[in-house]
Amino acid sequence: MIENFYYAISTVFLWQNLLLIVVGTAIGMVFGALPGLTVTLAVTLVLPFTFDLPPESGIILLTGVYCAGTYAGSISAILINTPGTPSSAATAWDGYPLTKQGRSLEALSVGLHASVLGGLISAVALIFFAPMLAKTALAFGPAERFALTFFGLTIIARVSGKSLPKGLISALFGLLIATVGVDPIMGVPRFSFNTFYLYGGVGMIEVFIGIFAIAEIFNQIGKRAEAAHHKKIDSQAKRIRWKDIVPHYWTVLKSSVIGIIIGVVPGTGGSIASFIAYDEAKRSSKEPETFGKGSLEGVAASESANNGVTAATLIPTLTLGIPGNTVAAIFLGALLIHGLTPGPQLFVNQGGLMYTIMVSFIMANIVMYFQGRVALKWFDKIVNIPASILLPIILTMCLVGAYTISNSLNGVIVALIFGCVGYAMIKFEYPSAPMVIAIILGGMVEESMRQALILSDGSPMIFFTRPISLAFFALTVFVTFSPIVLKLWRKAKGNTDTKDA
Amino acid sequence: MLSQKSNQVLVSLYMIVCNSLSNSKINSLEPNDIPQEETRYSRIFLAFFAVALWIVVVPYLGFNISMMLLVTATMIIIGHCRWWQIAIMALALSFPINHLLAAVLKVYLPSGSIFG
Repeated sequence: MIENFYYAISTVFLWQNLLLIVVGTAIGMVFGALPGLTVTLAVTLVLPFTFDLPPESGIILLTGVYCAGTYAGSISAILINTPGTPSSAATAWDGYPLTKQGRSLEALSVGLHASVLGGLISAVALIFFAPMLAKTALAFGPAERFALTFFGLTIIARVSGKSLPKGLISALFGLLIATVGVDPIMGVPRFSFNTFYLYGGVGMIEVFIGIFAIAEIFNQIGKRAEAAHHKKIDSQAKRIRWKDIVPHYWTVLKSSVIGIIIGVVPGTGGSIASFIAYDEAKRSSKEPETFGKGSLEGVAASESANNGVTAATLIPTLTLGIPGNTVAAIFLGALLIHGLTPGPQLFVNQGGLMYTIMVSFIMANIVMYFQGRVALKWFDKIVNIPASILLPIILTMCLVGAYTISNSLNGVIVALIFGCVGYAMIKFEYPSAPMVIAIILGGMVEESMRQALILSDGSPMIFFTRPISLAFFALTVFVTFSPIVLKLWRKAKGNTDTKDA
Repeated sequence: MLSQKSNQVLVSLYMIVCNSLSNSKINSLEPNDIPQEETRYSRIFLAFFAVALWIVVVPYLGFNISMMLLVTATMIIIGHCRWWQIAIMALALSFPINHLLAAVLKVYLPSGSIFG
């Protein structure tokens, strides 16, 4: 192990490889920050350039793109209310209200530090716990995945804001949208209206662009011109500092661990990790009422969780050959192209390469931190641009982003339709967060539930006879009903105290 | 069958909208509410119409020309800008973006059948 570790350090610290990390993180940051250009697209575009490189250098380049791309989704989420990646959706809930309050640099600073810490913790987990965590991944079948994603859906109640019925209506609408497309088991088209584009379902990024960005553009255009810009602040007066993250260390640690555990399970990913971490942070926070209105803790929770997923996703990929998400699948492809077969033997035969991947994750997060420090000061100036200039820029980015996802105008049409839906939701005070959660998790919940029911010949007992699945259901019941029980208990206690007095 | 389903969908949507409208009326009657900012729905409609028109014309005019027109229209709708700002923004958000995406990121935006 030690000699492999030394080999990894000597490889990563070669100037050529350090340069590749710098280039990779820069590319990832650009792709992640621009709505519509995903981290998957970035890794895919960079992949051909790795063919002529040695395997170590190729993987190092991809690692840089992956880490920075996952983080940078938060930049556009915080500044223009458009998550660059689906896993940054939860960041937008608190990041954008902070921008509106003139605290964008603070939000960006917390986002950067939380992402770096999440990424580092995830990389350490990859180094020390990879084989052990891989066994956990194997224990997750469809029943467990269903229980986990179903647990994720319970967050809807907490992010519904003032009105639970409105939150539920929003979530049901999201679930309806998630059913669009070809049925994952039977292959029957649903709500596709004979449109080829809708066979693949409604694109998540297009929906986010519509719900978050285009709706906000309409909202700003509709207001009086003098009010149609954010508060101007003296950005130079504030700096990006570690101090901003100090009050949230516990949240960051907890959320990173949530990210690692969820990242290890194939087929889940950063979105569910950030939602669960956000919900847990809100539940345990001393100021839960600030969540959704501009809580730095919310930004820290979401960002550390989705970056906690990055290295963890590679654990089943490297140890078992099971890719956890699309990016991990591309990593798997890169390894195969270089003649390496992922699996337990990879650690034995290519220990040096394995540790190079792990060390490169640490290095990528460190480089990302310094690049982020430089870049964020420039990104922050975006909020001080007058609305008459800023809104057309955002609109152009939205339209280009929605187009590039599917390379067709259908994506733009979907974004525009959801822009109108999002604007109606803003006007009638329907929360968009439950809808976003439902759209992201709806497909996963349905697919895993139906797979589990096929395995059990239609018997729902499969969800209650498997220990992990049962534990998640117990957690779901606890999280859902504990606030009600606690409230009733306090009320009863209050009544008893009054009677005694 | 399909028309029956679409009727049901339309009725459901109509009921949701009615419910929302009625809720908003009730909310507006509360005495201690902070007065809301004035909303100019005509501007929103114009912006929506401009984007919808962009979707229709982009296959014919191509990304560059249509985006120049859209940016110009959007900036006029928003107001508070000078003609030279409109000209610079319209140019900056059309040709350079198209070339940058094509050359660097290998992402190709639509070219028009009339203007290419």
